[in-house]
Amino acid sequence: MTSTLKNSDPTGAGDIGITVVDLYTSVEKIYPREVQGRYNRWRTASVWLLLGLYYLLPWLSIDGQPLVLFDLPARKFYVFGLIFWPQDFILLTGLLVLAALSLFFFTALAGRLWCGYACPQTVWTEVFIWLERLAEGPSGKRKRRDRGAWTLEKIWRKVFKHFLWLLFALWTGLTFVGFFTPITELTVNLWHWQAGGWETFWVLFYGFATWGNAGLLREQVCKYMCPYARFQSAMFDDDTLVISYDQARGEPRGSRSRKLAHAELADNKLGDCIDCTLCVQVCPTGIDIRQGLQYECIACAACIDVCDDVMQRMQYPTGLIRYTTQNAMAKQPGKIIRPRILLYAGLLLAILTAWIIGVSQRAPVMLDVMRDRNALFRELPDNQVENSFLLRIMNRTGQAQQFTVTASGIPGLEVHGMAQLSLEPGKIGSLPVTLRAPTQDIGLRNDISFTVQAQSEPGLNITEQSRFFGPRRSLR
Amino acid sequence: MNEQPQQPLSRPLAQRVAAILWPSFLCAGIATMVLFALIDPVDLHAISFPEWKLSRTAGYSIGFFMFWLVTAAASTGTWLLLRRSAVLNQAGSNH
Ligand code: SF4
Ligand code: SF4
Repeated sequence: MTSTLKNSDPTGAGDIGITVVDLYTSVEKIYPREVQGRYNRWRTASVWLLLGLYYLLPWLSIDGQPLVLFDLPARKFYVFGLIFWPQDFILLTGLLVLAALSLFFFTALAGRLWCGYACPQTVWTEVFIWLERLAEGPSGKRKRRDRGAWTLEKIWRKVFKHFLWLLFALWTGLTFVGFFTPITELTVNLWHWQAGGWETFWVLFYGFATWGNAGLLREQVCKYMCPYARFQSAMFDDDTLVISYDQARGEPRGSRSRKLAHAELADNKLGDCIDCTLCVQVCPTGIDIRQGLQYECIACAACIDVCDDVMQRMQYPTGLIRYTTQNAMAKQPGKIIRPRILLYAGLLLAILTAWIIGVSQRAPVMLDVMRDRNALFRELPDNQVENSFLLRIMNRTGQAQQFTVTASGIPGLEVHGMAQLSLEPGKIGSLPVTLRAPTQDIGLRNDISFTVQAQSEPGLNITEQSRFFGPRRSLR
Repeated sequence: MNEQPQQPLSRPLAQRVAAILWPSFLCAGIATMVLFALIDPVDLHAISFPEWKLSRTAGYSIGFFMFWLVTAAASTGTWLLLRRSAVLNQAGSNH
């Protein structure tokens, strides 16, 4: 693909003093070793919880209303009993801002918790690795087989793995599209090869992306593609919880016989690290945590689990690699509450409060009153004055509604003609309304109000102010 | 402790493609969300190419891909400008 950058090109451009060293370190495949331990249990639990929610939620409904459905074809979002319309866009924005702020907050507090336990990349990769292990066995075997010749066993194991991956990826794609279009119909349609072209396309697209990201790219997504990995350090300070190797305790590292273990330690010849390199072997991003904090580290804590196990077997205290802070490592006083944390928490709280108020204050009906721009008023022969308005009404309830418009504010004010409008849920309708009032009862401008009342629900109404104009009276 | 290996001048093709496509994908997603929260693709359809038959889903999808095209073009531009002179001066190089 890319092997042209050598100093031997015929044009001689390579002789201008550029030394080029090993330009294409091809990405070496990483075979992270299996690990057991408490953090691994946490991650497994997190995978089950998050993926359980992901695969289940689109199927659930309460009272015939989907629990979570961002119904794009109908432009209507159901979220845990609330319904959002495109007009609630500001709330959606608020939600995204909240999500971003929580990420900042948790990163400042506890480092890359998100990466290790909750990022879809981590979570799906974990499942893909489980499936891979099912088909191809543990990492050591896998590595040896990959280096060896293509045998029948190697072929069927690989085929079986990709078959499992494919099934899982397709199911993932189906579920993804199921968040945006009713999933039961979608599944039935797909089953009968009758789903719409675009739906099918997105199922395949998302399935393919999952297969590629979680199956093939894995840690490369974190290292080379993830924007968060690049700016997370901006949220870090010396009191942020990070995964770190205790240099002071571990060095000088070195292997030792188990009998000598404690004697050599006592002689101060060796630190606690027995240089077994297990922490490197389990690392999904292929780094050595003993070289210090690195941006590649996704804080999965696999190295903690494996090193704790080693320490226990050596009968040393655990925690040579552990969750700690830079300050704690340096034996400096640290604090949890600090300006950065307070700032993030304060913003988070403020926006959350505003968001909750915003959601709870959403009026189920919206009303916009616009005056007719052509004429202020019209004088009628029977000593009446007429004003025209355009009402825009939005039905934000989940049911169709029949609305009736009334007006008040001037004695004798009446609505002329039809003043009713039926609206499907989520729809906005315009209704031209003409008001008439006796000339002797009105002044130059009069404050009036419109009320829109739903016929089926007495409590469902909204009132909006406007003005009614009249002629200048000759007698004054 | 061994030294850090020298960083290569140019990254493998897959990494470059990924680094261009992925952030532009995210941005296109956000732009699509904002656009279609404010505008119904059906309305957009009515004022643009009413003679074509397009569903809402098609509208969202086309909108998304148009955004992605634009954002990916911007990302590619950034990458082109950030290439090091050593790479550019290398005749016959296509990075
Ligand atoms: S697992 Fe622990 S003991 Fe083994 S090399 Fe890593 S830090 Fe040292
Ligand atoms: S260094 Fe440890 S915590 Fe970081 S990615 Fe590797 S195994 Fe996970």
